[in-house]
Amino acid sequence: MFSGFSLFPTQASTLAPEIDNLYLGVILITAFFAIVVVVCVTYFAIKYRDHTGDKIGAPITGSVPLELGWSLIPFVIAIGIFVWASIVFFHIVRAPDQTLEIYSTGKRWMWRFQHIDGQREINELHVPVGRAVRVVFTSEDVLHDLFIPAFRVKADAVPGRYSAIWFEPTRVGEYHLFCAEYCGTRHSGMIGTVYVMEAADYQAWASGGGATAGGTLVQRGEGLFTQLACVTCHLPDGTGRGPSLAGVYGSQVTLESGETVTADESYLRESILMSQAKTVKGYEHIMPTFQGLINEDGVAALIEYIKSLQAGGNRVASAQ
Amino acid sequence: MPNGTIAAHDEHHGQHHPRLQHHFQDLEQQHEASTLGMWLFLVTEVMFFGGLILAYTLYRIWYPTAWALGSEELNIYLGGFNTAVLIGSSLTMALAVRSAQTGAQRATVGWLLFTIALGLTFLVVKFFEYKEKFERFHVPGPNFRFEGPESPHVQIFFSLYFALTGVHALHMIIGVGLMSVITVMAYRKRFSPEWYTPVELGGLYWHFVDIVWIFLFPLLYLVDRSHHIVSELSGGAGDRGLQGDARRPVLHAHQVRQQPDEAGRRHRLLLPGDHADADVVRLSVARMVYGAARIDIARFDHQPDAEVAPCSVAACSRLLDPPVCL
Amino acid sequence: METIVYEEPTTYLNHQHSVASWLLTYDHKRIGILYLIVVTFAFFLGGIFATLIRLELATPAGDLFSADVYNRMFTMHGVTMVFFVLVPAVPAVLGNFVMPLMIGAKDVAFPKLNLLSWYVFTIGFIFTVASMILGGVDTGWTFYTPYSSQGSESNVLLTGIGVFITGFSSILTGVNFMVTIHRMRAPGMTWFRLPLFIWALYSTALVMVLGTPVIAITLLMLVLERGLHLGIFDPRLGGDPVLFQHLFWFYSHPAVYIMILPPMGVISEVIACFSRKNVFGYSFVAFSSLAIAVFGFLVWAHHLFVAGISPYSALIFSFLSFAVAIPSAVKTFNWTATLYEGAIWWKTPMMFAFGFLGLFLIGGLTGLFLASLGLDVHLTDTYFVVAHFHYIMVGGAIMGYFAGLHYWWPKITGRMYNDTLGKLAALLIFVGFNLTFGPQFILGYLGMPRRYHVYPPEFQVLNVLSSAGASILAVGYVLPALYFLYSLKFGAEAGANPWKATGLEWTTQSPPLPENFRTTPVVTEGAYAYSKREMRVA
Repeated sequence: MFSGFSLFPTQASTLAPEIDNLYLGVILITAFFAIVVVVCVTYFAIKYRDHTGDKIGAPITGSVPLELGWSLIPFVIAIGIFVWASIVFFHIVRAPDQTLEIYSTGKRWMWRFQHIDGQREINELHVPVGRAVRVVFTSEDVLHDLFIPAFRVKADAVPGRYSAIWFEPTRVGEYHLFCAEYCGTRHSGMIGTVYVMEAADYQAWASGGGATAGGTLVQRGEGLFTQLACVTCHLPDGTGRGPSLAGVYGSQVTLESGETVTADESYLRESILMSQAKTVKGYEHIMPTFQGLINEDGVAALIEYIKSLQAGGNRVASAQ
Repeated sequence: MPNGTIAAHDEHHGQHHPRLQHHFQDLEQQHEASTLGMWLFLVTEVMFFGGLILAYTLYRIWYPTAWALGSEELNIYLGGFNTAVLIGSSLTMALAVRSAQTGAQRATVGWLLFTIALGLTFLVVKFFEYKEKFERFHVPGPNFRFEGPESPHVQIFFSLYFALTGVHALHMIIGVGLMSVITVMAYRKRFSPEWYTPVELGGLYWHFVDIVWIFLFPLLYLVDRSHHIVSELSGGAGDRGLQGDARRPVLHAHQVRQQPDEAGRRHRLLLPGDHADADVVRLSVARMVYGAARIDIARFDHQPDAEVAPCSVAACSRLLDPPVCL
Repeated sequence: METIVYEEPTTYLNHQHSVASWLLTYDHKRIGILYLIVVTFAFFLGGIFATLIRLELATPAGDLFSADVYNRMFTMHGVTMVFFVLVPAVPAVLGNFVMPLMIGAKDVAFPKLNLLSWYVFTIGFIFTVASMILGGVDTGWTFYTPYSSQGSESNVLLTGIGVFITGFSSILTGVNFMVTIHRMRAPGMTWFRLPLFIWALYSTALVMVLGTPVIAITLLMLVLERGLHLGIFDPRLGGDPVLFQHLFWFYSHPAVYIMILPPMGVISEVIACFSRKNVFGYSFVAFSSLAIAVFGFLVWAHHLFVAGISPYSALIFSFLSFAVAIPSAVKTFNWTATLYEGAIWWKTPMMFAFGFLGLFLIGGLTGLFLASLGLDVHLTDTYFVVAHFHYIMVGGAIMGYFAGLHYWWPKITGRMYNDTLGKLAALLIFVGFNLTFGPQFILGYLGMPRRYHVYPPEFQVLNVLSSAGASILAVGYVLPALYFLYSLKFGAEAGANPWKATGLEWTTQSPPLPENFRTTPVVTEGAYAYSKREMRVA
């Protein structure tokens, strides 16, 4: 894909054909209207041409049925496109249940990626083919946007919160990774390559090369969990001053206000960095905040550790 | 006279009112146009303040505690005084318009001067309020200091406080300028019951600026004063709450005492008198006994002579061991 | 067809000559000319930036400018074109000149305010140009925080203040136009006899009045944040940078309608005139302008589909964005139907109007792609968006502006320009435009992000095409400047009504009297009464 000329980017994810079909569908619909209007305008302009400027057009003022027709028919068609596009959109934003999680941080002007096995890389992203991958990311400074055209996915990286994209690569190969939200001088240099590898190759890559010196993401998270004394309150059996974190990820948490929230990455992140934002029902506002005490990589490690504490004991992370 | 079109129409001016501009048919059309223009301008002003108030509203929903803490730092007496001043100035403005309408020219000048004086009073008071904020490092920026929880969010509160009141004060300054011009016009007897549009439009503007303040005063000074206590004690639903800061002093359990009241359901918490700032920690302390009782926040103060009992070890140590940065 | 000749040759142009008589004029026509001068200057300034951008992008590497210079180029191109060309072009230049003439008024309701608007506009422009001379600004015209408030090291403050000041010009013009249209219409000029250009201007004024204050306060917050360290959008304090985007687009999406509604009005005038017909479905076209103005306020978040808003609010904004497309479609169909059984006179303004129809059609239809949630994720922030909004703003708005300029030029100056050269310019612009921006749709779908100084080599073929088209486009834009200037001195006398058009502006002499009409006209029929072939005589 790094050479040659084409009208479409490579289809390298399960989402890509869906989006390309939508694209072609909308092209056909809009082309139909465009052609109708262009043909009419051209035909009328030639057929009714008057060289003198002295003639007068027919005394036609309008037609309500026509107006209603060309209001309602396009409207119905627009609704059709809207529904189709919205269905595709929810496929894009809703990740499947079992995904390989990768954490990323955008920073002027590079992308850092952390794999749960502990591999870290900059401006390169290795992923296995045929496996749903979810990249959870934020920004350390200004807005960025993680964009992989071959997968047709994109989301802004906003400082202070998590965004996520997911994709399931279908083709081994190398693909572009862009920053798509303007971020300053070397915005156009904030690009990288996604390497889609065979599952076995990925496994070898992920566990090889000494890049795991710092341990897996979960191990690093576990270390931080102890080091920051989270462990003193968040006892696994639920008897601590803080709620037990076993199986909390993905569960419905009831807050003091009575509302329930899903404990996703953003919730965990907020609970760590702005601990007083939401308090679990039955517990007190006593947790200190860790803003400034822990960096984005550390937050990611902690979250991954918390996610590994599944109630049933089976961890999402494969390479434990 | 830069406008030649007036020269072209000078011959007609004999039969027109001297205040009728050449491009209008009659005074009525001119007056209607001016009034409509002013109202439309006020619509734009509503949108202008609307953007800021939207930001205020969102952040208040997100950070109610910070809003409460920030609000408490404002001087309610000066704010209240200024509110009274502005309401008074609306009255004098309305009387000025009335005087112009009835052709009482001296009274018009008098009421306008009165309005200007009240406007200036407002600005002077506002100046002292700002000065106090400067002295207490409550002006957002690198030097911002707020010795309490949620300092960053309180900084957002003060950012919006300065943006809202600053833009409002700017409107007041413009208003005083406008009033001065109108007063001079009134002094020179330019107005008559047939034509006093500037007084009327100036009045519309002045009332609008007053109304903005009538919104700002409760939004900034009043609303959250009691709310946050309830919010804290009921668990702070939706509250982004306390922010730690390692530089702040640490309060240890043995320094805190509590005093149950007669019913045993309310607690008075007593903080060491030598502690830098009892206010700083009171919200955090309130949390310590949360669950045990409702707390009468208003009675948090240094009361050396009060009858005290040591804070229940269970309640305090749970919370303060390891020491929590308040 | 009666041409009214006045005994005295006095016109708004020649009754006074001093520089002061121009700079202190209250005459809406002279103020229109003042705007024309500044806008034209801004247009060529923005055009130079565009040319340099396209030159740089002819090769994948960053060989002409450094990244910082390139970033300043596209930012200043955007800022200049959006705030100092597209927003004021049709309303402030053409609207100022012809609107009072079209409704039979002597002037706008507040002539002094009108002059003040021009000064405010010009001062804002001077600030912006000063910021460019002092090193420029590199935030993109959208000024997204926190880059603009913390990251950028360029002159964000000065530019922000410039745009902020200019906003007040829009606000005052909007107020002025609304009051004028409400209160200054000639006797008999009922709402449904108004030319459609006036409806469009009224809708535009509505957007100016309701939207511009929001951008003004947003930019003020940005300026305060950057200059005085207030922290309203600062994520380090817990502020929300996306709030800035909401506030920004709450104005800036309706601003698109400030840019496109008046040219749509121009197109209605031109198509009616050169087809010698009523505009088909007058009231539908009129109300579609209002509908666009109102719905335009409800779609801003479609710029934020990937910025982290909830997918459910994205659904709502997507739906509303489809809804706002309908009034535009209605207009297009009505213009097409107006041509049916017309007597179509192929003159330069009509050629520009045809060009508008083609380009606006593509711009509008590609908008549907971006309103589609599933496609927007892939397309947003790519060259597809760049191509789309250039089709709307340049293909639509500038084409319409040129149509209007060519249509009313004889009225403004009293002179005819060379019709053949005019048609040639229209053709060059149409072809050059499609060559420039057509390939960018493909580039965008291929995934080339916007605001890229260097790009992967496989995008080069399309970029070269685009740059080649831009050179044709540049010729197309310079050409009218030449024949317009030539016409001032050597053009044929236009007479009061060279296009044999209806409309009050054509009943007075060209160039008009200082006070427009000798006596206040009385209107007895609709705007496009070509079938009666009687001029409403002043």
